[in-house]
Amino acid sequence: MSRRKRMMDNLDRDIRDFIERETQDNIERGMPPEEARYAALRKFGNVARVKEETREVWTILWIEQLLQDGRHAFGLLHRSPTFAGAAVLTLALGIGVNTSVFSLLYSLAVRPLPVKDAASVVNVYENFRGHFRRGVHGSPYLLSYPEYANFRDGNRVFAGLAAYAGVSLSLRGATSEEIAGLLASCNYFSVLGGDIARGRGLSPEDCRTPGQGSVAVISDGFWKRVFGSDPAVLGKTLALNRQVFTIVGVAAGDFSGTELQTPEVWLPLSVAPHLLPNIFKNANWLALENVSWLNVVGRLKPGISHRRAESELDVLAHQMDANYPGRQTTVSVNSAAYFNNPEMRGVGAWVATAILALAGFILVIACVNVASLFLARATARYQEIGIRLALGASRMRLVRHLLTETLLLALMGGAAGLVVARWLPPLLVSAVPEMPVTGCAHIDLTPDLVILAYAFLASLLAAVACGLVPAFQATRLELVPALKEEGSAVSRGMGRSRLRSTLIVTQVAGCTVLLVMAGLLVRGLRHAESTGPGFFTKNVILISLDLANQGYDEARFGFRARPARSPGGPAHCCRRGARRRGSLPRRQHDQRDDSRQQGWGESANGLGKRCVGRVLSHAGNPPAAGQDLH
Amino acid sequence: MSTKEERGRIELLQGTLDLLILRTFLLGPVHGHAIAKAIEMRSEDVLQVEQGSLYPALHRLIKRGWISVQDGTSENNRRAKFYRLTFKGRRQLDVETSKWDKLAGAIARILRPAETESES
Repeated sequence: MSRRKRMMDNLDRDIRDFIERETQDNIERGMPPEEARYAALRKFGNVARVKEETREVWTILWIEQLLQDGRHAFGLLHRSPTFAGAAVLTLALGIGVNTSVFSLLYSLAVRPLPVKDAASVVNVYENFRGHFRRGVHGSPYLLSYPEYANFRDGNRVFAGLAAYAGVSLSLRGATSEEIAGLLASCNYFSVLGGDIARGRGLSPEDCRTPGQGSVAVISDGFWKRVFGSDPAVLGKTLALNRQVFTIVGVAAGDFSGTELQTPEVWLPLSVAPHLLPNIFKNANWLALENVSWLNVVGRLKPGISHRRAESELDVLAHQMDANYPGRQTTVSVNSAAYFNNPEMRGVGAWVATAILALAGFILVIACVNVASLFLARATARYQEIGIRLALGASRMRLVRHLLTETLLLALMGGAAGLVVARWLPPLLVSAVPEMPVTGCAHIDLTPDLVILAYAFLASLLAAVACGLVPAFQATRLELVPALKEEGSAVSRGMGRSRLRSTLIVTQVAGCTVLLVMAGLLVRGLRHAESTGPGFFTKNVILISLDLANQGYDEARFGFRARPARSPGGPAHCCRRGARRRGSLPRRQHDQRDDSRQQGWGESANGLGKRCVGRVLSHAGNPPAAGQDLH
Repeated sequence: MSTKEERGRIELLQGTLDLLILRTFLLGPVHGHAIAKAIEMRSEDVLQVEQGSLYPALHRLIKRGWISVQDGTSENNRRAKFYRLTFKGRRQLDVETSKWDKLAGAIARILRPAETESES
C-alpha cells in the first residue's frame, strides 16, 4: 500500500516535468510559448486517464472502483427513494417467490432429517434388476425384514441400522379414530438419537419375540391431544386395531422422526404380523423374505463414506441373491432426507424442475419490470452520463457503475426476498383448504447457507438480467447533443424506444403465460372435483372403512369384492386407490404378488383398486353393457 | 469521436511498447521524456507513441521488477525521475527480443511466403 502511495505521489511531478520538457523542446523548435504548451499537452494525451491507468497498475482496481460505485449507488438510494423502493419491492417479490419455492423443495428433498448429528444418518435402499417376482408394499426400493436383519447383523460400517414402516391404526376410544403409527425396530430411537421426554423409548426386549411386544411410545402431540398432557400417562393402555398396547414413553416435542407426517405412536416392529393386512398370503410379515416394505435408516460409523457402506452392503445383498436366481441387487446409501426414495426422487426431480422454472418465470417478469424502470431512469440521467463520458470516463467504467447500482438494489431485494420467503410458504399452506395440519412435521424453512447462497445467486442473476441492457443502452449516446440540454429529445432515437417496447412485450407475454397457466391449473382442479364419474352420483355416498383393522372378516363386511379380472367386461372397480377426498393419499397397498384380501381387488397395473358391491345398480344406473359389480 | 480508435491503438501497442521501453534503457538510466524521444527518433518518427501511455507502461514494468526508479539530476541541472534496467529486466529484454524476432519472422513468412522461400 505504502509503495503504491509513493509511486502515485511521484507520478504527478513526473508528468508535469515531462510536459515542461516537451514544451521546452517545442519552444526551441520555434513555437510561441503558449502554443508550445498546448502542443505538448495534445501530444501527451488525456492526463486524467493516464493517471487512472497508472493507478490501475498499482491497485486491485475493481475493488477500489466497486467501493466508489457502491458509495455512488447508496447516494442514488438517497436521492430517489421512490425509484429505489419500487425496484427493491419488485425484486423482493420475484426473489422471494423463488427462494421460498427453493427452500421448500430443498427442505423436503435435500435438507438432512431433523435428528441429532444428521450428517451421519443415511437411508438404505435396494435396487433390483433382472427377472424376478417380489411383493411390494409401498415402494419397490424398500427392504424385507430378513434382508434388514441380514444387513444389520452382517455389516461393520454402521453404528446402528434401524427399520420402520408406516401403518395406519384404528384407535378405539370413545369413538374410533384413525391415527398414523410407525412400526419401528427397537433401536429406532437410539439410532436416530431421538429424545424421550417421559418414560423410555423402545428397548431391544420389546422386539425380542416376533408377534409380541405390546408397548407404545407416543408423540408429544398425541400426548397433548388425547391425554391432555396427563403427567401420569405412562402405564395407560391404548387399543389399536383391537390390540392393547401399554404406553411406556412420550417422545420429546422436537423429535418428529423420519417421516414428514410425524407418527402419533411408535410400536415395536415385532407386532407387525398383527397389525399389517394379511395380503401376501403369509400372515407373518417378519418372515417374508421377498417383499419390499421396510424403510431402513442407519447411522454410519465416523469416517465411513457412503460408497464404502454401499460396497459392504452390496456383498451381503449378493449373498441373498443366491436364493433368487435371475435377481441382481445393488444397495444405495444416501444422506437421509424426507423424500429420498429413488422412486420418489425420479418423479420429484421433474416436478421440482417444473416448479422452479415457473418460479423463475416470475423472477424474469420482475426483472423486466425493473429493467424498464432503469431504462426510464437512464433517460432522466442522460446529461449526467454525457458529461461523465465527455470528461474521459470509459464506457465500460460507466456500465460497471450503473451495474453496481442495479446490484445494490438487487441485493437489497434479495434480503427483503428472504423475509418474503420466510412468511410466504406458511401463508400459502394456510390458504390451501383441506390441508391436514395436524401431525404434519414442521418443515424447517429457516434459511441456512444453501438457501442464502440460492437467494444471493438469484439476486446476482436478477441484477445482471435487469441491469445489463439498460446500462449499455444508457451509455450509448451521441456526446455533443447529450451535452446540450435540448439534445436529449433528438438522440433518444429509435433504438431505445424499440428496446422499451420489447421489454413491455416480454412482460405482458410472460404475465399472460403465467396467468393462463394459473387459470388452467385452477380450472383443472375444479374440473377434477366436479367431473361426473359416468353415473348419477346423487344419493350415492362413498364411504371408506377400515373394517379389517377392527377384526371384521369377509362374511361380516356385508358385501364382497371380486377381482377385476374377467375379460371383456367394463371397468368393475369404482375407485382407484384408497383415497378420501380432501386428505393425503394413504399408504397404497401395492400388490405385485398373487394375493387378495377382503375389500381389495387384484390389479394389473400395480395400483390397488377398492371395490364395493353392486355400485352401479345400487346407484340406479345399471351398466349399459357388460355386467355390474357383484 | 476517436475515443475508440485511440484505445484500439494503445491496445495494439501495449505488448510492444514494453519491449521498446526496455530497449531504451540499454544506454543507461533515462527520464520519462527522454524515453519517448528516444523511441520516436530511433523509429525515425514512424512510431508515434502517445506519450501519456508511457506512464502506465513504466509503472507496469516497475511493478514486475524489471526496472527501478530513482531521483537524479538531468543534463540541464533539473531534478527528475530516472528509470533504469534491473538485472531481472535485462534478462527479460533478451527473452522479449527473441520472442519478438520469432513472432515477426513467423508473420513475415505468412505474409510473404514466396520471398522467404527464395531467400532460403
